[in-house]
Amino acid sequence: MEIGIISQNRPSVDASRCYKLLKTVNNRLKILVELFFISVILLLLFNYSSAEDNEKVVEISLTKGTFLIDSERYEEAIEVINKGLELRPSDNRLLLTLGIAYSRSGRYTEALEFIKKVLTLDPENCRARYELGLVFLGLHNSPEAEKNFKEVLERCPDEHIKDAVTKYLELLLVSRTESEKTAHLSLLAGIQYDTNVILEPSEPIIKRPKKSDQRSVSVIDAGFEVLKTERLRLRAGYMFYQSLHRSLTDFNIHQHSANLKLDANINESVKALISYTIQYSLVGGDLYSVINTISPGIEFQTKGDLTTCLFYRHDFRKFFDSDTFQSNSLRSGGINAIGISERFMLWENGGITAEYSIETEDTERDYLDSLGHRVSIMFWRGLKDWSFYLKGEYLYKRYKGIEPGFSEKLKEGKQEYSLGIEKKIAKGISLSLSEVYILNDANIGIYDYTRNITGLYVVLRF
Amino acid sequence: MMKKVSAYLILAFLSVPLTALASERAGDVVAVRGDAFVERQNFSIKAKKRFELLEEDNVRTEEQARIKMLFRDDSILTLGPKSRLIIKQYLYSPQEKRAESIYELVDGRLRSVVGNAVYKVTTPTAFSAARGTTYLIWYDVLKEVTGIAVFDGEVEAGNIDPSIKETVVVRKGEVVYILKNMPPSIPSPIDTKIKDIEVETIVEDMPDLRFPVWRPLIPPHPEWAEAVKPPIEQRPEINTRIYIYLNFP
Repeated sequence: MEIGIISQNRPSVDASRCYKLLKTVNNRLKILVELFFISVILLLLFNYSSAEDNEKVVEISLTKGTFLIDSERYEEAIEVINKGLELRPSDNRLLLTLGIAYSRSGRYTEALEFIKKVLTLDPENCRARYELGLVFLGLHNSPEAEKNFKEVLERCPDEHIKDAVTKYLELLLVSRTESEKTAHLSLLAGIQYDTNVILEPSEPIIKRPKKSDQRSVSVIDAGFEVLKTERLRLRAGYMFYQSLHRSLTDFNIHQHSANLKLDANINESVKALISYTIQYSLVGGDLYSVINTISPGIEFQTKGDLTTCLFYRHDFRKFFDSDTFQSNSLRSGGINAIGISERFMLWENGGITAEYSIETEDTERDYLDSLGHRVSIMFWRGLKDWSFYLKGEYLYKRYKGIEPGFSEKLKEGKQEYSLGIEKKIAKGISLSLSEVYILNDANIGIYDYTRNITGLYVVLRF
Repeated sequence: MMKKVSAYLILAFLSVPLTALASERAGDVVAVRGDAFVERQNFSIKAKKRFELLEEDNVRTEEQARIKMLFRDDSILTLGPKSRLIIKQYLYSPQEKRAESIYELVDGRLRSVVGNAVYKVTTPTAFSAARGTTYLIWYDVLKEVTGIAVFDGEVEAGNIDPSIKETVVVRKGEVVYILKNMPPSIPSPIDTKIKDIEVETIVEDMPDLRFPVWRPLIPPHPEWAEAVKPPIEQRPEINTRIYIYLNFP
């Protein structure tokens, strides 16, 4: 019985235990499930809130990045936009703005990568297509630039972008026409007033009756392309100069100058140049000089719009005596010059050119031999109908020997300032005004002089 | 007398940094749609991109115009059409890159993306204080009511009248209205109309387009400078010098 009781009781005890156990497990499971749902909700909430945060960061990145680009603070813009891209790596607006920042800063290869990415995601993006055209312009790939600009013109509804693209296409057409030009001819005719035709010293021993004069000036400048391949370009040029003085006819200049110029593209940014010039001059109807010049150089197109040129020049000079220049032949000999020039384009059609060269002059007399330093800077700008330049040059020369009759070697510094302005008045015709001021300052007074040349010209270009 | 002079001197000394702060740049105009103006010391200047904004400037928009401003603390403020906003106070710490700013919305609507700033906007009936928030605040002059709709974060709002103590915390997705001499309404969900107004206020801007500088028909070149100069550089004639030789027996 007991057993029976036990056996009767045992199952009832086990069932209660089982029930309790099941209840506990059930409760724990419930807690676990609840916890699971709470964590999922929290996770979703967290993700949602960080998505909201991302939206804010992206908006600030875009607005600030755009502002920095427009303020030409490109490096800061790149940094700000990259912060946004860390949160949204495939945001098209951020990718495009980053591409624009790289493009404006002259980092065209990086710009190309990001703008192309935008166009992969959104091929109809007009702004990206326009920016791609600009990048190709920066990379000097005009055909690709033109292709993209034309695509914008065909598909884009934005009139403002279309307007910009139209102007670029016109520009490309003009430059293509110019580069396809194989020949050029220009004529310049005008009058000049020269305050010191004969370079009379400021304090002469015997004052000449006349040193200033008016003259007419004519220049013919012609050239044509002899050869053009992918790597080589050979051009031939000719220049004629004639001046006719009103009174000082002994100083009329008649000059012929012919040249050959060869350019060889070594790679995209390096170019080798060599030129040869022969110049034949008569002064007052008498043979004055024959000068042969050979000048090799190498040109580097560095990052952005800076071009550096290293050059060497050798002049073989032969001077001839005449009634006016009785000891001219003593100056025959040669000039060796080596220098560097930098051209920095500030605009599409304007910039600064700076040059420095060191030159030695060998003649038939040691007192005419010299060592010189020449430095010049020129600023020029071309607008639609106007163009102008400003130039300053300084040449310092130290002569090697003492000239008979003097007690010391000659040292002289020549300052030269010039400016010119040209205005187009009709197709191929323009008017030009120029001013040149020269001041020669020497340790021997007889070599001091000043000179001022003012001119007005008509220029015809064909 | 001496005390008075000293007091003036102290006042003058103290006012120097305040004056310096007042003339400091608070932010810049980053985009303008339509006609917007900045009024400064009785002058009204048409707002343009990159126009510098100062403390106490009064920014005004015409009908259908909008202006987007970026402040030094990275706050982006977009003023909707027919609106007027006064930069009441802008104190910026460059070391902390943080600002304390108070703006007064006199009329119209303003969308704010609050950067690193203690940021307050008041209207004739309400005040709102926010930090790191995106919200829209508008004031209707005729009904004398302010609306505040929050799209991200939280905004504390209340009546501008300090005697009405009740304030409310407006959370994301909520809107409150504050009438003149009334405590704020109970926050209610933002409806589609308000969402549309927010979208209309946003000004999406891109960097300026680049236009080419016109290639001249006259190509300037360095040789041009040489062409007008005589191509021969004759030295002063040394043979014109007079030598006098005296021979003594």
